[in-house]
Parts: sequence; C-alpha cells; structure tokens
Amino acid sequence: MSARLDAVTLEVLWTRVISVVDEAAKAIVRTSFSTLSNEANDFACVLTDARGRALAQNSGSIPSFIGTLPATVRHFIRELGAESMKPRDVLITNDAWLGTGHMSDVSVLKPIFHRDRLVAFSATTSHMPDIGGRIRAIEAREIFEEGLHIPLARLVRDGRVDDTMVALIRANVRTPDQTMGDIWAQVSANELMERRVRALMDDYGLDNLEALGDELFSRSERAMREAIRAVPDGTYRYGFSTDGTGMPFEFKIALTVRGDEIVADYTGSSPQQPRAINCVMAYTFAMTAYAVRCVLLPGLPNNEGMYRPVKVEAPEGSILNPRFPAAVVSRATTGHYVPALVLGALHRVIPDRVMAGVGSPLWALSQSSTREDGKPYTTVLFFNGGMGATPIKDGENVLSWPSNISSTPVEVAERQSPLFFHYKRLRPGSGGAGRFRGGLGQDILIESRSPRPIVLSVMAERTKFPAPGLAGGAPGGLGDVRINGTRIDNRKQHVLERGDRVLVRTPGGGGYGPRAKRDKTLIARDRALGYVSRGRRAVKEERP
Amino acid sequence: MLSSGGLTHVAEAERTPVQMLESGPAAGALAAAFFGREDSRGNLLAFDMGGTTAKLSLVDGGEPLTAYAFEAARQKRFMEGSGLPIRISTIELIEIGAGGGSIAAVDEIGLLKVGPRSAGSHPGPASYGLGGTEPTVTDADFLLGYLNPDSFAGGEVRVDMAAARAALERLAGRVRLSPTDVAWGIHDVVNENMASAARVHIAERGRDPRDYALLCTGGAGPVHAWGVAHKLGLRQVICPPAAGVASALGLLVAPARVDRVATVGIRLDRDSPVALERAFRRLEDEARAVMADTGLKLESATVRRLADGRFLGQGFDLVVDLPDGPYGDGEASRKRLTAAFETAYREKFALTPPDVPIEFINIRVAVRAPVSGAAMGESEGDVTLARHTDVETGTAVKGTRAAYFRESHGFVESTVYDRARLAPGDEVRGPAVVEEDGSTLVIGPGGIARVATSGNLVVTLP
Repeated sequence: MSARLDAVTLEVLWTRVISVVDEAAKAIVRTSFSTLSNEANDFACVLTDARGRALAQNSGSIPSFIGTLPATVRHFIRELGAESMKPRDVLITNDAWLGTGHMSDVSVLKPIFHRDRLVAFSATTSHMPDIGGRIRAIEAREIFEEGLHIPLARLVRDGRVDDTMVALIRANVRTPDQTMGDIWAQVSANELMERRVRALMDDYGLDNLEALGDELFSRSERAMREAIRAVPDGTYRYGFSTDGTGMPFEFKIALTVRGDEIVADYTGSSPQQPRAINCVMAYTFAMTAYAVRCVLLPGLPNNEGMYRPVKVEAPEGSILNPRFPAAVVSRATTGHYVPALVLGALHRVIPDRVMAGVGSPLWALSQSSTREDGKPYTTVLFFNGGMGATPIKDGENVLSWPSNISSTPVEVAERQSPLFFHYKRLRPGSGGAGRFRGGLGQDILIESRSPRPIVLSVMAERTKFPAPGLAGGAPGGLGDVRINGTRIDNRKQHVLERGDRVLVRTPGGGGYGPRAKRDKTLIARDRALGYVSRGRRAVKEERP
Repeated sequence: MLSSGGLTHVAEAERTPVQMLESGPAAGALAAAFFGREDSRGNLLAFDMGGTTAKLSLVDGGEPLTAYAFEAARQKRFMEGSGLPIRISTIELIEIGAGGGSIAAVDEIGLLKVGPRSAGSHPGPASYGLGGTEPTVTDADFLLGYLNPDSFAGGEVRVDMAAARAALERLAGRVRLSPTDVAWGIHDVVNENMASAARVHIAERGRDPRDYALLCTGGAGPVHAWGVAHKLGLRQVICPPAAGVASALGLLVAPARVDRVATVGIRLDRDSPVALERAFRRLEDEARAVMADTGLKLESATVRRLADGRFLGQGFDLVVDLPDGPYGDGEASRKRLTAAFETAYREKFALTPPDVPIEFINIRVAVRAPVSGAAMGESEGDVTLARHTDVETGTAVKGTRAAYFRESHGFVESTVYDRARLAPGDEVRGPAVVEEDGSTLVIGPGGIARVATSGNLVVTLP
C-alpha cells in the first residue's frame, strides 16, 4: 500500500467521500415525493468500494440502515456477478432479507466505472410512500400480504429502462406517481454520486478505492477493538417483556465481552410470530451495532471496519431472526427494543455510560382512503415518546430513538390527509421519576374530517410494559391509543368515520437513579414547566 | 441593517427585531458582492475566514442569494439540525468551524482533524506566545512560509516561531509525519473542510462551482483562498483591498429593503391567477407603505415577486422568481407562471416530474430602493477605497522567502510583495505572497495576479 494514505491524505479523502454521500442525500430530500424521505429522514445514501464495503453513509441517515445497504450490494455482486454489470445499469430490490428488513424500503444501486473498471457502487434506499399489500397491517401472517416483492433485478439495463419492471411496480402500488417519482429521485442521487466519485478519483489519481477502504477500515476496527478491550470481560444478561400480540413477547440478551470482541446473543427471545412484527437479522445487527457504537465509539462516522469486532447471534426462527416467508413490515416494533437490550446488559458492567429505557419503538399511524377525486391515497404519520434519563441528565422529551425519524409536523399532516389536529402537547407526569427524570411523551388528539371512511393502522408499543428505569429510577408512563375515548386494540385495523377522534398518547422514558437524590432546583423546574402531574387525573379528551 | 442585506427604518426594526439577527454576516456578503462586481461576471463564492469560523455565501449575478430560514446558535459542531430554526429572510450563508485559531488534533483512529475547537485569541495559536501549546492553522501557516513572522498584524504581534514549531513537532510525532508534512496537512485538511461544505452547499443550490470566482476576505481568507479554489476547480480568486476588514463596507452599500410573505396555497391547475395577483397586491401595498415611511422615493423602488412552490405532494418548497404582474385570468398568465416554476425547478434538479400540478404555498415580495445621498456619493460605484489609488512609490517587491507548495513538492523561493506599493495594472506571478496589514494573499506556482483598477487583486489559477 502506498505511503500516500497517511493521516492527512486519508482525512482529506474521507472528508470528500462523506461530502459525496451528503450531497446525494440533499438531492433526495429535495426531490422526493414521500414525506418519509423528505420530512422523516427515512432513507440512506452509501458509497461502497468495488467489493461492496461501505466507505461512507450520509450524515443524517437512520441507524436501521447501518450495514444493510453494503450487504445488499454484496448480494447483487454474488447473484448477478460483477462481470455482468454495465456502466449504465441501475439495480433495484426490496427483498426484506437481502435489504433492510421490510419491503417498504426500495434499494437502488448503481455500479460505478472508472477507466472501464468497476470501482465502486453508489447505493440508496428509501421508504416508499406505498408498496402495495395491506397497509402496515400487523395481522399479516406472511410477507406475501405485505405488498410487491422486487427480487434482485435491473431497473435500467445499460441505459435502457426496463418498461415491464416500471409497469409492474406502478400496477402494484396505490401511489404509482409518487412511488416511481421517489425511485427516480434515488436514481438521480446515485448518478450524482457516480459523477462525484469519478471526479475525486481523477483529482487524486486513484485507480481504485480499495486502498482507501483498507486503511480506513483497519484503523476504525482497531479503535473499536481498543474501546471494547476497556470493558471488563464477562457475560452480561438482561431482558424484559413487551406488549406482544395477545401474549407478551420476551426479549433476552446475553452480551459477552471477550478481549476485543463483543457477541450479542438473543437466544431465549420469543419465537417468530404469525404477525408482521418479525425483525430480520440485518435489522437486528444494525440495531445492535448502533447501540454498541453509541456507548463505545460515538464520534466516528459509520464505516465497515468499526463493526468487525461486533457479532450478533439469534436462533433462526426467532422473533429477531425470522425465516422466510415471515411477515416483517413493522419490524421496528420489535427491532427498536434491541438497543435497549444492549444498553441494559452494558449497564451491568459500565453503569455510568448508558441510558435508561426509552419510550420507543417508534409510533406510527398509517391511513388509507380515497380523495375527493376518487384517487386512493395513503399516508404515514410518525410520533415519538420520551428518551430515557442518563447518569448525568434528564431524558429529552418526545424524541426519536434509536431511529432518528422526526415526528410529522401538524401542518404537513393536515395538508396531506383530511385530518384535524385538536392538540399536540407534552404529557405531564409521563417521564419516569429518578435522580434524573425520563423524557416526556406526548398527547395528540386527531379528528377525521374525511367524508369517506379512513382505514387506520396503528404502530404502538409500551402500552402494557413501560420503559424501564435504571439504577433505581422509575419506569416511564405507559402509552395509550383511544378512539372516541375508548381504548382500542392497537394490533388491529380500525375504520374512522367523519368526526371520529383518535387520542394518541406516546410513552415516557425511564428515570435514572433514585428519586430521593433528585436535585431540588430540578424538582422546582419540573413544577414550573408543568412537567409533573399534580395528583391523578382520569384520561379524558380535552378541548384545547 | 436586516439579515436580508437591506436597510430599514427604526420603527420597522423595532417591530420585528428578529429580522436583524444576521446583519453582520449579511454586511460581509454585500461587501463581497460589491467588491467583486467589476472583476467577475457577478458570480462569486464569498469566502470569509477569520479566527474561529469561516463563512461561505453565493453571489449570483451580483446579488447575494437569499434564504428564507436559517438556524441560529448551532450546538453541535456547526451541524445542521442542532440549532434553533428561524424563519426570516436572510443572506444565505454557511458557517464552518474553521479559522486561524482552529486547533489540529489526532482523532480516535489516528486521522488529523482540524477544528472546530479553537484557541480563540487567548491563549491563541502557539505562535502568539501567550501560552497556547496546541498547534493551530495559523501556526501551520507560519511554518509553511505563508505568513511573515516579522510583520504579522502590522508587527503588533511578536511571533514565537519556536513555540509554533514545538507544537507542530509534538503533533507530527503522533502521526509519524515530518513537521512540514503536518503543517501542510493542517492547511490542506482545513481547506478540504471548507471546500466540502461549499460543494454540498453549492449542490443544494443546483449550481456548478466552476462558474464562480472566489472572493476572499477576513484575516485568514486570502491565505487559504488558493488552496480552496484549487479544490473546488475555480479559475479565479479575487482579493479586495483591506481584505481583513472588508465587511464593514457592506453597511455603506446596502439598499433599503422590505420583505413580506404570506401563505396562499394556490394550485395553478385549479385556481385562477387573479387570486394570486390579488394576494401579491396586498403584500406589495404593505411593503411600499413601510418603504414610504423610510423616507424613500417609491418611484425608484423595484419589486420582486417570488413564490415557494412545489409539485403537488412534495414535502419541500423551492423559492422561485415569478414574472412581473399583473396576472390575468387567461391561459397566458397560467403558462407564464408554470414556465417560471418549471425552469427554476429544472435548473436545480435537472428534471421535472410529468403531469403533476404545481402548488404555490407561500408568496413573497421583496421591495428594494437604492439609498441616495450622503453615505454613498452619487452612485454605489464611487465607493472605491480612495487611499488605494495613492500608491506609495518605490518597488513593491520586499524580497523573497521560502514558502511550501504541494504543486512544487516542497519549499520554493517566493517573491514577497508589499500590497500598498502595487499599482493598478501591475502583475504578480506565483509563487508569491502579497502582504498587507490585515492579511496576506498566497499565490501558488503558475498563478498570475493582476491589480485591477478597482484595487482588487485578481488571481488567475493555472
């Protein structure tokens, strides 16, 4: 390897590679039709070398995509063969096992050639406004109910668009213009990365990106190994129950630190379910890796090397490693518990570095109906609970974790769907008490103004088992969903008539440390801000 | 001075003080637009680099671009999303934690990072001899021969080269490079940080960096302009006189300006352009009234109509210039408005989606009038800095010193010029450094600088 890749050259090249993926991310945000991309950040841009190893991922990307896009690139290389790829090919798939864990995310890849050699892949994945099938129905028993499955395929064959593929996609989704519009937005972001990478290689006289990758990965790997080595060896166990479907689900982790490696073993967690909440291995890995890096190596930009010392195991056929054709669309419902398991286990050995339970998984309301002009539409609104307290401060209110998916703004939601928001406000008393208090959840009251019925699916968690506190902190407040004042079974689809009102109450985060040790000024501040409830109040809808 | 780069009267400022939040940087961008006007085609990347931060803004056709929202007080390393979003009209600029005082350090994987931590002015760079021990960008610039230790800041700072060298040697030991390579590394990394930020910013605007000239100001701007221009593929660097303190002049050249915005939600396929016309009229009347209160003649005022538009269903708006009114009910108006939006959209995103209606969410008016009279002379152009036409006599060449250039693979003897003695028409060939009190312009090998009649030094890159 050349002496050129010293601390300076490497830094300069890496900065430039990151600016390439960030530039592509800007392009996606600005051109996509779906609010999932342009408001909620539910997409990723990655640049890999010719072997499918990720050099950089865009800065604002969500953790679910850690490692998934490069893995998809490698599946394509394996299945289609690198030698079959042409400079103007565009590849596409939404396979849940080879992609991001559900078919809503469509991954689009482009092989990048420089001086007639395959040197890199640009890859983007984006959550589609719709991919067909039942609307995020948790009742789905098999993936076939969850929409259109695009296997590893070519969307563009050396410059020629595959019209059959486009027609097939359009015919299978409720929002053909928006879904295809978003896919084309991805294609243009991929092409932007291609142009930038080729310019970069020209500027620095590089004929491949492997050397850059090798150096970057080995340095990152060393840093992660060092960080792991600083954690005492041992096997640390943790677990909890969650809402489940009918019966609660069990989640278990045995986290083993041995020298400079970490193994997260989820044996003992519930078996795979005939419901759309199974979390494929790629997602389980992404969530584990994310939690480990948050605690041990938070400052370093994502890349392949830093996750080499992290191993993840879960029995095949379990809820965190389901077999095909399990239904998976709401995998966040289970997958978002994974980082909480990792942190809980690490609390046994490095208690001062972890956060208490979070009011996650992410909440979502999916609706589908028809507009005045008779055209079908679907939208997804996101909501978040409070974050857990840490050993040094209170949890943040209403913030997405482990996924940085923004809550949908009221203004956007009201424009996109015939809904009226009566209020959206912090919920006093929902943060778990402790030396440091958990973040607050939120109350949102929504009314349907649609003349036609709206089919509503809810993604809600922690309505039966709260976000646990740590080190003596109290658990956060439970979440709750009501229609016209009556608590609903949030695992079923519901139909909203005009005037029906949905009350969404997201859960609070857990507290850290005993409440008795809470600072007096913090107690006074909570009172002044109205963060604590005065006495018990019955849940009731209030007019603003 | 408003954040949008316009002047207003006291009552309006009192009514909405938030509009003045970014007035300082706005003045800087206006000054850049003013200085660069004569020596470029009006397309400038204004680059201001001081002690702790660098600011970059785009000037198109002589006018700084306006943004309609920005983030104040970013908490996390100048990162997007970590500040307080504020919806006002403001000169569009990006701020990066990169300045002369930015500290170089090794990160957890052994890479050389520069900034955003800064030594500030106390203790300042190691070379200031005030107790700073960490190597900074300024220390590196001394070691590379770009800055003159004998006359730094007009000789007011006694430069401690031994301290600078010691700080750089410590860092060099940690990354196993020579002190010179580390000094060059610091210079190059900070340049890349700024160039990368500029690339993403320019891309967001749908522009091509190669269409711009780099106009450098601030104490460190002219020192780093050569490297930044190189990385961005720019062909021209413009260095105005007294580049170290150029921003203040922006306050003198600003026009009076009133901005107004209203939410309309008008769909071009369904609603009549007449509704749009009525909404614009209301805003314009309001803006003119404020302008009249400022005591300006309304005849000289220009009105721009803009709209925040989107293709129905998109989640972001694009602010576009609209054709002048009035808009009638006929197809002609609708076609003109559609064309205006589609042209601007294509310019930015290269393609337009087929058959999707256009929706204008907000409309905006910007009314501007030149401020005549005392502050300005008869026309804006008369504000050339008078003292620079009185060139001191004698040769401008002060001597030579060794300066480091990557293109030459090391130190090369470079001519040192005294800017005060350069007259319009004079030519400076790189490698060279041009010194003046507030700053130093670095010109690499192959670069040719000419002193323009405006007083600007205009550098052409090879």
